[in-house]
Amino acid sequence: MSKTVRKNNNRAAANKTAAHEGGLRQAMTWAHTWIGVLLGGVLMVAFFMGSVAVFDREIDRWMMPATRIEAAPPGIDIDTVVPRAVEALAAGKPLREWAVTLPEARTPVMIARVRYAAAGGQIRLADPRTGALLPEVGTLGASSFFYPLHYNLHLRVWNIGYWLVGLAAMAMLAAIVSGVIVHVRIFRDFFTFRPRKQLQRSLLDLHNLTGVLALPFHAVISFSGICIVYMILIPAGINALYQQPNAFYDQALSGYSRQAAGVAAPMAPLGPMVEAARARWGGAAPAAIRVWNPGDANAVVKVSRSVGDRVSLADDAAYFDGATGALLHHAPLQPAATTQRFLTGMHFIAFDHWPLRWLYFLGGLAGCVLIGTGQLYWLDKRHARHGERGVRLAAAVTAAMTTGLVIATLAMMVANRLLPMTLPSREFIEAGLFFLVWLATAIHARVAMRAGSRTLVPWRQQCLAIAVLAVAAPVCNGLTTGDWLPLALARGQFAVAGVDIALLLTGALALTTARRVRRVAVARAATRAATAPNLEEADHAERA
Amino acid sequence: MPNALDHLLLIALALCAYGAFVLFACATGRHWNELSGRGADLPDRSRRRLRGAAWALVGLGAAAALPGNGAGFGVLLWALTMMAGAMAVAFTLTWRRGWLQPIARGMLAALRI
Amino acid sequence: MNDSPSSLPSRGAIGPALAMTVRALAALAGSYAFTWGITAGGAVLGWRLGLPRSEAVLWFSMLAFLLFPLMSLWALVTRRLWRVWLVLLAGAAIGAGVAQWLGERLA
Repeated sequence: MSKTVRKNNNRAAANKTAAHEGGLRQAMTWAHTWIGVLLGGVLMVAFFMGSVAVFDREIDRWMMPATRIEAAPPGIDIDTVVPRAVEALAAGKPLREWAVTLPEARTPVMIARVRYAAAGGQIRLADPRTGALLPEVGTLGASSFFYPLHYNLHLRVWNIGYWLVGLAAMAMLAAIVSGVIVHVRIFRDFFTFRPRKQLQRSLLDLHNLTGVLALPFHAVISFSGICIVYMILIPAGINALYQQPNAFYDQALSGYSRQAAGVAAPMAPLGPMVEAARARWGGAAPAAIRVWNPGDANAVVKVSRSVGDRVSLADDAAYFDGATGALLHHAPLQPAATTQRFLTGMHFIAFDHWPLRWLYFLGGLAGCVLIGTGQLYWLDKRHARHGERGVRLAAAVTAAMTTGLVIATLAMMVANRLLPMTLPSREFIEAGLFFLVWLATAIHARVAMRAGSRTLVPWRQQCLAIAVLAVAAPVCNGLTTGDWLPLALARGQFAVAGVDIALLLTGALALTTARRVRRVAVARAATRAATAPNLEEADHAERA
Repeated sequence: MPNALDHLLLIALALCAYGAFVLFACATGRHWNELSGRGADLPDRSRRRLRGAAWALVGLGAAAALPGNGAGFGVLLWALTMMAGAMAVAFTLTWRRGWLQPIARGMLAALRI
Repeated sequence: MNDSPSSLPSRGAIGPALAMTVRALAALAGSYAFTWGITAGGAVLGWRLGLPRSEAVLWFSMLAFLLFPLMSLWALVTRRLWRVWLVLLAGAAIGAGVAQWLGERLA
């Protein structure tokens, strides 16, 4: 056959591939499948770490024992405490900018950030009762490791991580649309879950269940998440109408900025400014104070409002003259900005509402189950169709993205307790351990793969690893901090106790799953899975 | 801090969510027989009444969610609790069908369907 | 029933699978270009029609994230390739054109 003829045949075949035979449903199935295969891993990381990040402040207390201080009284003395923390952090060096996040319901510490006039900056936690800096915590914790992993995969070079997660979010929306189109009996099967049927049937049932019943959550969480980073992923609008992005941000978020005067002037006291802001907010609490060009005649002080009592992230910020304390700017947001702040607020859930917080967590877990069942279903189908050799790599990756991710998270928490505080770069060693263990779970899944078994991946072993780590973590917490679960409860350390309880429940769940996997494997080994590799055939047989 | 009334309303919301989806499940042809204990197929008129009652419970849930929580929190709480209720009914149907049957029959009797 | 490119006729014929991959990438890139054009052009049009600058930018930036997944899906599943390319490139070009000629970048 000549090269041209072969090329033409290939092109014709490509145009007429599976994607386009059999109409819209067939094409959508193809799209849905490949979205899941290519981006399912990234989506799983985003959803799992996102679920973990729902309780990031609580996990921070667990991972940073130095911050397990009791909640500060509501009226902390901002005039003494805030400048003290900033001066301690500045250590005499002139500052270009500083910011202090005040304590709130879920965060009993102050977070102080400085940027030096020369390059560089620093972040430290401070005690809001005294303004003293807390000792270095030696860990990135949930808020600086698990949470960023969720939205940028810690791949910050050229914003690659943002692009990947963004693409995954877009893929999620496309998967939802295509999934609904493909779902044959969406209302009839609304409540259907048949766990004792053939593996593919059970997986697909659970996939459909978690997808359809929580569909509004999945759609809104994906869309709201990506609306947070529009400026990175689609700066087209900003570029079309602004030369400087900062000019856009000031207009969009009702912000205010001005150049330094170059003339020194002492800062006015912060207390009156905060009180003036609070008066404009009808008494609401302040969340953070940020100062540009401190000590300059043109210093600007931004006081932002707590968002704990609302969904929207709008911080209703008031801007003051640093030298005189006079109000410079305080304007409400316009409609589009209000919408965007509400959307992002629906994603960040920075609010104080425990029932909602737990519901979001359950929604996130539902998303993990949705993605995981999809991957396992595809894996089993591919296994049936192409045999073991065609599926080993995919199976190992799937294991890493499911049980592996949990194992790595737990391992990092155990390491957090066991690594000596005097270790230099302790936080990076902890993070490095996370990635190493994660890789190890993929390798283990491949190496311990049992030829001839139905599910290939050594699920039971990985579940047992989860169980062991999940129980070890609270034990290590008790040994290294003395905050054993009953003692933590007695001392009012509910965040720490909550994390311990969640860890123990995870361990129990993993143990139950390990036992179940063994039982199911034994039972299914008896039935010849290869007799109905095609789910459609099984369906026909069932309906006959 | 949430007070006793807030907690009661939350429980009421959860019950509305669960109850609504029990009724939706009864209205689904596949589950009608086992949930109601009746042999005959579900007549169309009953299906409409069941769905109407289910939607009424959904609306009642909104009435429980919105006052104490405000519009923003309220809508989110209501929507998420409804989704959780649907999931709970699905899992009860799968693993504890025996628990669901008396509940369903009780609701059907109360609605005189 | 086929539902994945890997189940195409012969294992050795990577041609169709490769062509499908190229098409998928092109669909993504084309949809992104389309979305870029609509976002830029739409924001400029919105501003010209009276919306404040930042508002126009925000509305169309959020809209972009609804547009992109829908266009990508459409580009992936539509039978006629020429129709896909016509719409995607036209949208990108017209949008970019509107942004270029009607737009004004605030200094």
